[in-house]
Amino acid sequence: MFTRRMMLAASLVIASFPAMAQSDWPDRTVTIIVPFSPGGATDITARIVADALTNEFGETFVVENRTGAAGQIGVEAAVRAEPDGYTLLFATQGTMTVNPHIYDLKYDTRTDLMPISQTFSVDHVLVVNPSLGVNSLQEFIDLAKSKPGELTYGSAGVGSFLQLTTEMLELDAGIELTHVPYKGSAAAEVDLLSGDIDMVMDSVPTALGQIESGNLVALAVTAKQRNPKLSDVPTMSEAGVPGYGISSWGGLMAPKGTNPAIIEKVSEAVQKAYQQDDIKARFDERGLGAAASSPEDFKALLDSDYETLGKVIEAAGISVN
Amino acid sequence: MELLHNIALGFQDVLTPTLLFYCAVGTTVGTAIGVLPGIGPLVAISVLFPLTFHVPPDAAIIMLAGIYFGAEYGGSTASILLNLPGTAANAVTCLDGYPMARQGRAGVALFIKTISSFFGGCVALIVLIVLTPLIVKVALNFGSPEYFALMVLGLLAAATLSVASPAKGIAMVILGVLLGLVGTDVNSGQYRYVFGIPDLADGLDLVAVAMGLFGVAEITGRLVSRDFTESPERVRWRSLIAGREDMRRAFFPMIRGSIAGILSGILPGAGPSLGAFLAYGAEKRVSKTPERFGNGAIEGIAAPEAANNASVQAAFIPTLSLGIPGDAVMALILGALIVHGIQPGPSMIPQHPELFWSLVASFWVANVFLMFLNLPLIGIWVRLLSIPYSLLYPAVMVFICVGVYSLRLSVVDVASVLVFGAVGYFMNMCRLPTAPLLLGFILGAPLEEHLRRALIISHGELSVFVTRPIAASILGFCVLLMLGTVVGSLASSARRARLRRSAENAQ
Repeated sequence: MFTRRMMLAASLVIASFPAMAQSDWPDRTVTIIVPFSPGGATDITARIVADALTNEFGETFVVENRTGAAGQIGVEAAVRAEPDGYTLLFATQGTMTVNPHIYDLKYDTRTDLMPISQTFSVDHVLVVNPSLGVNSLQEFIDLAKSKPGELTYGSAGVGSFLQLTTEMLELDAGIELTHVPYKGSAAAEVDLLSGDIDMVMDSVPTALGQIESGNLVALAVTAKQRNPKLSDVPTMSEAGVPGYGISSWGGLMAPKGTNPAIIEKVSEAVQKAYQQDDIKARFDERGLGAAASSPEDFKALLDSDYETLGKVIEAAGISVN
Repeated sequence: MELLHNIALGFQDVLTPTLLFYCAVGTTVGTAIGVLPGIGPLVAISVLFPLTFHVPPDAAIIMLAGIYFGAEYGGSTASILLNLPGTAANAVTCLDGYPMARQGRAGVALFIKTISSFFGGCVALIVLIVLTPLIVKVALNFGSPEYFALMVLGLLAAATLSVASPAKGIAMVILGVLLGLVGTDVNSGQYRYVFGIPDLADGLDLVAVAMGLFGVAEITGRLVSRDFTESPERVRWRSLIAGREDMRRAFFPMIRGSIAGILSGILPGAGPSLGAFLAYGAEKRVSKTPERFGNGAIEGIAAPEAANNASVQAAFIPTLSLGIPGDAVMALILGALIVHGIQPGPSMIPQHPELFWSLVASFWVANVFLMFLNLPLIGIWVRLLSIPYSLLYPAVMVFICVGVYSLRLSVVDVASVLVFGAVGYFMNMCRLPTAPLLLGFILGAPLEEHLRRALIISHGELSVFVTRPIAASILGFCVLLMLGTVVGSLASSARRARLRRSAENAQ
């Protein structure tokens, strides 16, 4: 009755079921949770990605802002969501690799979420007020050595990338600066412009306007390569702190248990979208790096930064208790 | 001459049917949303933000600006009619606006509010046009010591807001300050009084606290005392237009309020609420009959309304010229500009002058729209009061809860509204003033933040508060104010004692 041919056909059909489930996705709106408020750099990038994915898949990818507690509320919402591929998380370096070291989280960013693809990278740049009288990183370091603890730097809060990059500089160059936390880097920049504080490791998009107009002087960028918008500015490595090279980033993640086929699909779609010129242009004009990656490469980045930043946090004694 | 030429260019760009249309849509939507208690400009702009991607930049900005101004404008309508501040800045308008409505003068209150808001907006615009570069310098001279001094001044003003005894006022301000410290400490990242609830990590929500203390408390009070007397409202045209006397009384407060509003608007971090409260406090102080405040004094509406509209428009100055947003709404608008490839900042005006000037022109057009939209609607708003309370109050409660929930999709916020509603109800029963508590709440955290930051930057030197001229003058002024109040009350109690003695001798 059941010929071998029928058995073979039946087994092939059954084997294709997962493929069918995956080819159905997406068949309704997908939500991308953004743990920060609308209008900020993370949010705007998320919207660019959501647009690109909507074009690619034909179903709407919509951004949902869930703010609060340095991104923890949004991340937790994604962790607890159904892993059916209809809820994704637009994560950032801070929420994935810094928060776990500083706060008591109810989830593990390394195991409760699955990386899909990196979506942007942002370099930070060391800017000072011209009145400080330094024109190179080496001069700044020398000045700091001559007055330990006296020079002040602003950050976007305890645990922010602005603080961590500065702590790394202090550890590598053997200097001591006084940390002045603010609620957001914009507020720090105001005080830098007025000369109340001496330095900020601000992100390139935020500082670019002031650098170009000469109100602030850029001494070095934090990344491993120079930034295309600031091609005259050396990297930290070039300018006197060898081995220094880190950028901040954002990327898409999915809750643990999401079908790996869906993850592959989204990753490929993002990587494909980033090849398009208009998407690249939207990033470039803001000084952001359009960087997409495969899930494995993204995971490698996550793990590497988790370790590096964890060490910095420990060495600098950053804690919220 | 170049200035006039630029302004003319700006108007030329704006007075096109398309842009005027977007402006109209923005102001109408904004006012409608602002009137709904709890749902404020931040929600409106976040929801409509994605639309800006698909619309040309100048249209998008005009629409967002219209929504922002409209929401601020509409927020005070609910304050006057229902004691429900539409935004925190409108809470001050409740103090005299609501009593006026209960006295049957809602129409007059709404009229004066509309005129004052328009006035404040126009003055702010003129300042924006003429003084932007100068303003930027002033804003940059305000560091943490200056902000601290300003917050101290604000707290002093808060204490004078109470109609009841100053002691009660001060006590409520301090309670407000303590409540304002709930959340994350900027300087150490520590959680304070968060009790493990992530939604509290950024503090109690201001809108929830304001709605609860003012609106929910009022509704609860009326329901409990079964006070369903409807306001004696015969809607006649005469009751809608303010008389000469009212206009005369409102004139100088409008001017003073505009100045307070502009000053608070240009300082990122000060905000329209501070401007409105300072304007109110100043009016009460310079008035010859301060006891009228809190019972329906026209000045108590004119000044804060001019202030908060001026502040909202002046807030664009640091946003456009420095690229630094003063608050969350400005940050959104900044984001919208960036999406369209415009980087606000020092290079914006030199590189995109036509955009700057058409923005200025569109602000003015938005102001005019708001005035003409709202004036005829006053009659309709006033009729709202004649809706039976059994229908009105449940509807309002629903709007409050939905509005507050929509801010962060957090149940904790809704719970806060209800808890503060209960708190406000008990405060009303004990005759404790609620406005000082709200202002203490608004100013508490920034007060601490700036004090500590000033001391970190000065490496512990307290003298920084007296060596910096602006901070020193503001603090000096505060000291004089306190001395003046103390001396004044001693003098008046001595006078009263003398009068009593002479009355006794006469018998």
